[in-house]
Amino acid sequence: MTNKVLFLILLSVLFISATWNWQQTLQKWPAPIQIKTVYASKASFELGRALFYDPILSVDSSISCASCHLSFTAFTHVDHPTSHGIADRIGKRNAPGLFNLAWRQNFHWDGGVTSLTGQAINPLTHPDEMGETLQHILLKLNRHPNYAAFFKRIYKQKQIESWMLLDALQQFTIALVSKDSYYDKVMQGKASFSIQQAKGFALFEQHCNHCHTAPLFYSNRFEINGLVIDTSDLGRYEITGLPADREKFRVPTLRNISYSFPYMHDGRFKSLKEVLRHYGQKLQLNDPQQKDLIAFLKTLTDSTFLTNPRFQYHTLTP
Amino acid sequence: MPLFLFVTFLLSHVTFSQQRAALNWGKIPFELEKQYDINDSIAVRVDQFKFYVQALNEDKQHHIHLIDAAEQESWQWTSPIAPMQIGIQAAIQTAGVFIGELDPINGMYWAWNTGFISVKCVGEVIHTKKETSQKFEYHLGGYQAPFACIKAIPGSGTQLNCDLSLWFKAILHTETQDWLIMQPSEESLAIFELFMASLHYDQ
Repeated sequence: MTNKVLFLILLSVLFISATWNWQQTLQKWPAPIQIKTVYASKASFELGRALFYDPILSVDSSISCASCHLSFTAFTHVDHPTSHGIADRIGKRNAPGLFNLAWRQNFHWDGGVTSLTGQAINPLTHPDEMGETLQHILLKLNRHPNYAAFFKRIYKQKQIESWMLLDALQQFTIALVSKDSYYDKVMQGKASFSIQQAKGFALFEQHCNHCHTAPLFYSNRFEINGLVIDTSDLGRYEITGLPADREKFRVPTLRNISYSFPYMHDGRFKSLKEVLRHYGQKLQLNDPQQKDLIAFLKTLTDSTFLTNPRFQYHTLTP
Repeated sequence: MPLFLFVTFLLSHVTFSQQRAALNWGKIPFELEKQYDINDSIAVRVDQFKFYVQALNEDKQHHIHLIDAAEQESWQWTSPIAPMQIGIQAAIQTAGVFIGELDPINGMYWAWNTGFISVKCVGEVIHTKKETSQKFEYHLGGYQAPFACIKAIPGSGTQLNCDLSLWFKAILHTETQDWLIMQPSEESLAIFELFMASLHYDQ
């Protein structure tokens, strides 16, 4: 009897402790900026997911959103420095990872898009990406044997309109949440850093956290990243026209960073080592310190997210 | 109580009115794809002309209407009796609303830089004596200072008159004539201001 009571007390203490740690971590996450629409449901998520993987959205039905945003690489594209569109066209910027989008104020390396709903219009219509027009996509979807019925079930309208397409895509992309990395487990008290990871974490907090702020390891800011000036891409300046914004680019998230290579807005660095070499000079980090920092950055990989079947290829069946 | 409900019902309805846009070239009705002389050596042909008006009512509805010279039914619309502006409030432009009048297929959405074009006008300036022409394309919009093309229409009424001859004559009087303006800039704001000057209300 006494053993049973002791066991129950111990179990309760463990549960409270685990819950307390978890809630602490959750509390650190700020409120989302992008919000789910009234159509959020399992059905709209599945519809958005099917659209995300369907090449019907590109002008020649050759590529889908997933062509540049692969689930296994944190929804980014690792084959090319910059995005790879229809007819082997190459864009001028690196395809960013798609996750934790609800916490973003704006999108793209220059922050030119301010809503997750509107974001999809850019890759869909860009001549070097999917090269389509919204009119033609709607025509194809309205003629498709499955889509019309699925859209009607969710949006209660016979004809598919642009806002429905954009809403469905947003239902999928807003659900891509990554918060189960080794780092998160350490923060929840479920794991601990190795000595090297702990050293790297200390360096990170000292040098990097200001811009790549935990727990998102991201900030809604634009900064000059210190790269050699490339006048063909002036970054944020191209949106605001303000001289102070020349060569500024969005601060990217460092979550899943070891899977989202190549790095920087133009994908010029193939490895974290190269990135650290670039910033290491500026921050005066020696070689062992750079290695410690990389060891920490690898703890930001969320394997559960990267291999989650819920986010992988999907097609609709009537 | 029934009287109160009846009065409330009436009030909620009398605050709306039928609005009309009169698109003119001087004293004659304006037509797309028709050549209009500005002087003895320059003429203008407009192929596309549309602009957004928004009623700044205090309710939480978006009273936005797109006037398209190519769609005669768009020249009349119902709107609350409230101050009107050309262009759309910044908060709506950045909120990811793409329904109805804000459908991107209307060709008024800037994908590369979130926001809606307030006034779109496309066509040709023809040098009649030289027998040459110059294409022009005005996409005037943007919600960010200092180049935001959103402005209240002076006065009030039910008929909004737009005289394109006034607008183009004023454009031809400007010192720098940049015929391709497709992003927010000092030039786009200047052309937008000239457009605003071509508008007036009739009661």
